[in-house]
Amino acid sequence: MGNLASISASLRKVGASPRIVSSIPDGDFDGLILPGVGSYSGAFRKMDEERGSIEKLVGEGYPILGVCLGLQLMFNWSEEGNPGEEGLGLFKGVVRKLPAKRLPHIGWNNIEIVDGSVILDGLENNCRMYFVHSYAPTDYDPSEAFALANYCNYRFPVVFEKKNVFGTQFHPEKSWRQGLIILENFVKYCRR
Amino acid sequence: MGLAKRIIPCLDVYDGVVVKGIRFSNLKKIGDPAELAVEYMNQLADEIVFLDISATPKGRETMVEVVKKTAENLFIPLTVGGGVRTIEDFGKLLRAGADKVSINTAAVRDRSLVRRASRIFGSQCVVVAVDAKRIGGRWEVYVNAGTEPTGLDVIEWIRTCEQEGAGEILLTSIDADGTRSGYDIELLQAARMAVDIPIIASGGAGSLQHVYEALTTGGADAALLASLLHYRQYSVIEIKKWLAEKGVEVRF
Repeated sequence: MGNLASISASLRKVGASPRIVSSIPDGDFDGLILPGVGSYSGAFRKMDEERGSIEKLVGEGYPILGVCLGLQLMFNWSEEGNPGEEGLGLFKGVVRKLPAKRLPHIGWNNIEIVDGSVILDGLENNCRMYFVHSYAPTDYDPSEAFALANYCNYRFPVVFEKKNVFGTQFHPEKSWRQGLIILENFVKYCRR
Repeated sequence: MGLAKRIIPCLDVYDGVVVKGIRFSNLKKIGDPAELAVEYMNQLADEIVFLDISATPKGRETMVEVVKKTAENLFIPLTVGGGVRTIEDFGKLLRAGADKVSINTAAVRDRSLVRRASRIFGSQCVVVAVDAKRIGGRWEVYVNAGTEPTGLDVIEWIRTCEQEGAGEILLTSIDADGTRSGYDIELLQAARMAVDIPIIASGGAGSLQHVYEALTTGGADAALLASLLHYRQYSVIEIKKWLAEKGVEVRF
């Protein structure tokens, strides 16, 4: 799922050695990225096959970063999916369609940063990130949300963190220098 | 603050080299696509479009290599178009590192292509390019590099594309293209009324005022720029600074 070439190139740019895997290997890696564009159900099926491995990695403290749909899979459920397609539940909340007339939300939106984030370290408040999505988390836990965006007068959370689990609704691999800072922070955290 | 209006440089690529010319004639080589794309990224371009104007099987193969090389250093979205006909063409370009693929003639010839591509790869990577020619008070869709009328009404066609799953519309006025006398603002407005997906305005920009009109009066989400940039008349940053002074929300 997702544009693996882009995310791999950006990880190389910040000094990491990414490997693209179709199932989670045993050991020998410092962190995991769940990328994702496309439809929820397609990505869900892939994630569901790996659910046990992902839960185990989270429990063991491996750093995990979800990008776009990869983040949406980390909530309890998404209304884009079918009933019963339960998410990973790593963050609290339900993913719902944005209440905006004009969807998808495509382009560079500013993000309002909340203090204390690991992966947003070094970024200026209201810097712009590249978004492509129509769904966003609702009923979330504000203590897990570290940035918000505003589109069509609706504010929604776009960066999540909880211990070793991270996620961005936008695409850091497509958000030029600001995005590379996020990936660099994640790689640093992986090597801590 | 919110969503910024986008400035998108368009690079015409012929057999792996960026060229400029007037309506496909007098082509002059101006550089390497990967290098120019990075240069525009550093000038704060919001995205890059590569258009393969060789449109031959060899040109398409070369394009895949160009995209691979470009994607390694380009950290903003890359759209690739020109000669894309099949789902396999989509897959090749996306795997090479393109973020979006634009289709024009193929979308008209194969009416299921937009739907199939958006189901397989996601709407976000399906850009439908529409070449519009003004006929009285309406616009007709032309294909084959703007040479062949289709009988399709532009506004009905873009509505269909949106319903079929297109993520964005790249709308070019054939009448205005190359004239540098301004976008067809009425076309942009009519398109804006018809669909909710983003519209990228193309064709006719000869001044900063033209870009401003497309993004404000015309209601476009983005402006595709070619000659205004390639002749080094303005840099992307200069264009954005000018737009920002006029109150347009842009990214710095």
